[in-house]
Amino acid sequence: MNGITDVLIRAPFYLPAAKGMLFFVFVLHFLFVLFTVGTAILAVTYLLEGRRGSGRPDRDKFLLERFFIHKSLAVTLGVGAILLMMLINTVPFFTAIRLVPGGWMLLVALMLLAFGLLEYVLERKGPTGRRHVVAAVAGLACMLAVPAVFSAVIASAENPRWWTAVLWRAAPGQLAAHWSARFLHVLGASVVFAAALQFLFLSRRDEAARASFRKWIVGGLIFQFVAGVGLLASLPRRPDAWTAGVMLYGIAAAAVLLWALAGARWARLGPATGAILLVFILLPMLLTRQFLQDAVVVPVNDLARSNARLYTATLAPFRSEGLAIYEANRGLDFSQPQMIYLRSCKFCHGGSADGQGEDAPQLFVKPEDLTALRARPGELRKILLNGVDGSAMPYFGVYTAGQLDGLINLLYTQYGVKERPEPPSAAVSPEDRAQAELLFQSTCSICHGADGARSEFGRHLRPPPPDLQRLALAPQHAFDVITNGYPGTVMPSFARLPEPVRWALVEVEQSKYQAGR
Amino acid sequence: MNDFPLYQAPYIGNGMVIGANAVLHVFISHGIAIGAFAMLAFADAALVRGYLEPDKHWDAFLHRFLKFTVIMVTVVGSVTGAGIWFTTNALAARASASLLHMFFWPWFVEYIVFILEAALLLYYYLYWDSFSKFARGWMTLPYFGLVLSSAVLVTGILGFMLTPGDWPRTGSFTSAYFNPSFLPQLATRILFALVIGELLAIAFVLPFRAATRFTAAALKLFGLWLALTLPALVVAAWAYYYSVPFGSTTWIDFAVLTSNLSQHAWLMTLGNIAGIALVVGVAAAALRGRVRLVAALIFPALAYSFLFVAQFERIREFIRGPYLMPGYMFANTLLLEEEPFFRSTSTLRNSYWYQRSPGGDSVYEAGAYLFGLNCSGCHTIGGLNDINRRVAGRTEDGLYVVISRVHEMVPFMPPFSGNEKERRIIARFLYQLNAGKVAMRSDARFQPRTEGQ
Repeated sequence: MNGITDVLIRAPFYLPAAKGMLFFVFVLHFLFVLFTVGTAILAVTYLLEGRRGSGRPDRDKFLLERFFIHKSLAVTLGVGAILLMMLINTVPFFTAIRLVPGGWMLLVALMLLAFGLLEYVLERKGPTGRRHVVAAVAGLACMLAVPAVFSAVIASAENPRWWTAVLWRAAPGQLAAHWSARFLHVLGASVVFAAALQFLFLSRRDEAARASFRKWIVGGLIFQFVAGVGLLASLPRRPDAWTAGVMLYGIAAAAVLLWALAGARWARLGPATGAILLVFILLPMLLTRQFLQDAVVVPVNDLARSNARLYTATLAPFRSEGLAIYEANRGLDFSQPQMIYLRSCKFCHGGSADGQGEDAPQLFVKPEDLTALRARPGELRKILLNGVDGSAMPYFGVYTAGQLDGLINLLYTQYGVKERPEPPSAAVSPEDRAQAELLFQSTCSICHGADGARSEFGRHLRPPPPDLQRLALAPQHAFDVITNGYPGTVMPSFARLPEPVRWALVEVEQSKYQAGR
Repeated sequence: MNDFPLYQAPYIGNGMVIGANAVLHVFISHGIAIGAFAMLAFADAALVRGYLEPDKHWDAFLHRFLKFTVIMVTVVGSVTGAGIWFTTNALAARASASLLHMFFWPWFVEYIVFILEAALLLYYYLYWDSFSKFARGWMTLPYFGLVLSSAVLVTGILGFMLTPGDWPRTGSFTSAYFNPSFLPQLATRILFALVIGELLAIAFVLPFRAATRFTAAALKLFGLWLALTLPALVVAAWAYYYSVPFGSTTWIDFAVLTSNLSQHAWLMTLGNIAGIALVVGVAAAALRGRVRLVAALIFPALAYSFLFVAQFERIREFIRGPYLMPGYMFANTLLLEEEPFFRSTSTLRNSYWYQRSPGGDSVYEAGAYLFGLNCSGCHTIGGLNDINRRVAGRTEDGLYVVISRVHEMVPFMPPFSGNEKERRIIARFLYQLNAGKVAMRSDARFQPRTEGQ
C-alpha cells in the first residue's frame, strides 16, 4: 500500500483555518482592487476634463502613479486568493471557470492591455493628444472588464443549479441580472473607496482636489444605495436573518459616511474616523457576500469531498495495476531499434515479423510478413514516414531520421528483410513465362501498371498496390499472394491459373524490380 | 464528480496557450526580475563604492534600465505570473487542482515572497535617488534573497513533474519536492536569467554610445559578466540533462522539431550552435569595445535568448509525457488507475458532465466526448496538432488497433482510457471525422453536429 490516494482530498492543512486565511487575503486583495479600479475611473475622468479645459491639465498623473502601485498589489495579493479558492472550493471554483474559460483567460490580456495603455498615458510628455485620450478610454474599458469577468465567474460558482444552463448557453435572465447588479456594485464601491483613500489620506493638503473627491464619494455612495437595492432584488436566494443583520451594519456605516460628507460638516471628518467607517462598510459587505456564498457552496463542497472519497475507494483496487504499468514503462530506451520494433511494430507484424502479431486478427487488411519484404532502405523509410493509406500501417514521424535508420537496419539484420528478391526455386519454362508476360500486360497492369510502377487507377486504390519497381516479395510469398489474393485489398486470387504460370508471374513481377534505384 | 466540463482553446489548443503565457513569464521573471535587476544592482553598488569611474551617463543608464525593469516586472511579469494560474485553471483544471493540493505550501510561501518582491521593487523605484550611498550598496540584497527563494520554491514543483523521485511508490512529499532534477534545473534557470540580464544591460548601454568612455566601461563590465556566466550555464545545463532519465531525453529532438521537422534534426543543432555563437560574439565584441559589432549582434542574440527559453520550457513540458504527475496523472489529466477502471467499466458512464450534455448518446456525441477527455490535451480538430492529419489514411479497424496500442507505440502519449466498446466508438468517430462525414458544432466543447446521421 502506498501513501497516495486521491491528492484532491488530501487537504494540506485544517480547512476552517484555510477559510479564515482566504477571507483575510480576499479582504486585502479586494481593497486594492477597489483602489485600482476606482483610481482608474477617477484618473481617466480627470484626463478627459483636463482636455476639455474644465479641469487642471495633467491632474490625472498623480492618480495614475498611484494606480500603478495599487494595481501591483491587487494583482499580487489576488494570487493568494486564487490559491486558497482552488484548495477550499475546488469543485465550484474549477467548474465555474470551465463554464466561462475564455473569459477567465481573457483576464490576462485585459489586465496587460489596461496596465500597458494607462502606463502609456502616464508617460506622456507635453500636451494631452487625441491618442492619449483613446488610450486612456480603452485602458479604462479593459480595466472595468476585469471585475465584470470576475463577477461572472463568482456568480456562476455560487449557483450550481444553473451550471448546466450556463454551460449550454441557456443562462436564465435572473443570473444575468444578478451578475450585472454585482458588477455595478463593485464599480460603485471602487469609486467610493478610491476617492476616500485620496480624500482621507493621500491628498489631504490639496483642498481643491479634496472637494472634488468628496463629491465622488457622495455620488458613489448614492449610486451604491441604488445599485444595492438592485443587487438585493437580484439575489437568487433570500439572506437569512444573521446575514441580513451583518448587511444592515454595512448599510448603516455607509449612511453615516454619507451624512458626514453631505453637508458642511465634511471638513471635520478626520482620517481615523473615516478609516473606521470604511472598515465598517467593507467588512460587512464582504461578510454578507461570504455568508451568501457559504449557504450554497459549503454543501456543494461537502458533497464533492464525500464523492471524491467514494471515488478514491472505487479506484483503489486499480491502483496497483496503474502503478505497475508506470513502473514497467519507466526508462524504456527508444533510442534502441529493438525497443522500437517491440513497442511499435510487434503487435501487428509479430515477434518473428511474419505478420502474425497479436492484433493481426483484428485487421481486415493483414499486416505484411516482413520476412518476405524485398526493398531498399529508401523505400522502407518512405513507408515508415508515410504509412500505407487504406491500411492500419501508420506513419512514424515521431522517430527522428536517426531512430528510423536504426530500425531499418534492424529489419535487415534481424527480421529477414532483404534488399533484392531471390529467384523462384521452381524452374519456369519459356512458354509459361511468355503467357505470364501477356497476363501481366492484360490483367495485372490494370492496377500494377505495365512497368510495375502502378497505373493511374492503381495509385488511387486504398490501399494502393505496391510499386513493383521498388518493392518485391520473397518468391514463395509472392506466389501465395498471386494464388490467394491479398485479403482486404482488391488483389484477387489467381488460383485457377496453372501453378507453373503462377510461378512465371512471380518471375515477371520480380523482373519489374529495379534494385539499383 | 471526478471531472469538469470539457473545454479546449479553439484552433491553437491548450498547451500552446499555457506555453505562450508561461514563456513570456519565464523570460521576464528570470531574465528581467533576476538577470536585469542583478546587473543594475551590481553596477549601482560598484559605482557607489568607487569601483567604477563616476560618470553622469551611469546615472542616466541606471535610471532608464531601472524604469524598464520595474515596468516589465510589475506590469507584464506579474500579470503573466498570475496568468499561469488563469490559463492552467481553465485548460488543465484537474491538474492544477491536484498539483495545488500537493504543493500548496511551496506555492503559498512563494505567494508571500511574490508580494514582498513587488513591494520592494516599487519601493526601490520610487525612492532610488533618496537612498544613502551605504544603503545603495546593500539594499538590493533582500530583493535577491526573495527572487532566489521564488525560483527555489517553484523549481521543486517543476522538477517533480519531470523526475518525481520515489513519490509514485511512497507518496512522500520530500521525495517529490527535493527530486533529482531540482538543483541542476535551478542552477540552469538562474544562470540563463543572468545571461538574459547581461544581454539586456548591453542593449541598454547602446543608446549612450556617443559617450565613448562610459560605453567602453559599461560594455566591458557586462561583457565580462557574460563571459563568466556563459560557461557556467553550459555546465549547469549539462548537469540538468544528466539528471533526467535517459528514456525521457530520447524525445528532446522531437519535442522541439515536432513531426513537421523530425527528419531534420540538424536544424535544431545548427540553430542552437548559431544562437550560442551569437551570444559568445556579443560577449567578445563587448569585451573588446567593438560597439558597432555589439549593436549588430545584440538583437539577434536577445531573440535567440527568448527562443532558448521557449525551447527549454517546451522540452521540459514535452519529455515528461505521458505524465503530468508521474505515477499518478496522465498528460490528459486522467489518472493512471482510471485507465484499468474505465477499461473494465466505462469512461462515459463515469463522466458527470457527459451524462449532462444536451445532445443524444449517438456514436458521434460519444466519440467526440471521448476525444475531448482523452486526446484534447494535445490534439485539436482542425487546428494545431490536428488529429485529422494524424489519422489520415487509416482504416477504421486500423484506428481501433492503433488507439489501443498508442501508448506503446508513442511512449509520450497516454493510453486511451475506455472500454472495448468505447475504443470502437472513438475509432468510428475519428474515421468518420477524417472522411468528412461528421462536422463539429463546437470545437471548444466537443459537440458534433447531429443532423444527417
